[in-house]
Amino acid sequence: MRKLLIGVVALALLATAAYAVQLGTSGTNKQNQQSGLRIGIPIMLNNTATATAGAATLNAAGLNPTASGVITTEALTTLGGSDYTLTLTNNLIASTDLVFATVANGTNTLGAPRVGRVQPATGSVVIVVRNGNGNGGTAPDSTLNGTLKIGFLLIKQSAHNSD
Amino acid sequence: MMKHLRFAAFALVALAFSLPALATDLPVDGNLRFSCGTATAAASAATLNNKCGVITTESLTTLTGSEYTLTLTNSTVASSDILLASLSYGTSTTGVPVIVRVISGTGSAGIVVRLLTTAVLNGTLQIKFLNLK
Repeated sequence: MRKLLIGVVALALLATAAYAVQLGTSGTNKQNQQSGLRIGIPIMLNNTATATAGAATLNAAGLNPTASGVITTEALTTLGGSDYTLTLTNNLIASTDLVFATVANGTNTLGAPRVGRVQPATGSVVIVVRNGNGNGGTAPDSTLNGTLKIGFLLIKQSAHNSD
Repeated sequence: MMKHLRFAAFALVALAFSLPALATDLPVDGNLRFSCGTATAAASAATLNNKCGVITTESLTTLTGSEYTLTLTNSTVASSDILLASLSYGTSTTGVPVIVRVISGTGSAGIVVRLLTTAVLNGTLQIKFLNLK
């Protein structure tokens, strides 16, 4: 009887270990099954949103994280040497976080968009996309003529020295 | 007595499996967490041996139409690594700085910032990095 009891305790501990690896990846709670570190590659949920007037929202809901995503901008007509500023509302973001951003063409085919400042704040991040070289270029860049895809990745700073 | 020891050993083995998982800072909430650090640059150079971090530059008010290269000494960086970099204003409130190149070396990296406006910076920048093997 005692052996059985110890066995049950051991199994409970092992089950705790499995659960601790990643919440929401097993049983009936599998929202994060496609997230996390797998063979060293971070596989994130495919979060998307569309911006309107320079603003978009991607908030985490329940156990569905929004630590990364792709924002499709509104159709842009940003002049060469000018900026498009996206304000992304995301309730996971803190001002001390590291946010990395990329830019690619959606329907846009002109200009030379590039990521400038990425300024996290509490609950949001401002991502500035510069079209072209501005005064650093030798010729003015073309005006944008469509949407851009702005990708982001949020990294939290850990105090646990676990990396 | 022997039986108790056997049971205790069994329980300890189970705990040994449990504790590393509990101690590891895996993304239980879907966020990626790393042990980042902070440093302040002086004369375009800073040292930080974490795999990610935030470097506060010196005041860059003289950067006009030219490049600022931050040399980051970091023992975790190898030339084959992928170094992600991002920048934001520190105390600066003007200018349009962009990162134009990130060069990984052995034990160091160069992060090149270019100012794309005639409006100059009026303070520091914060350069964030994440090193991926």
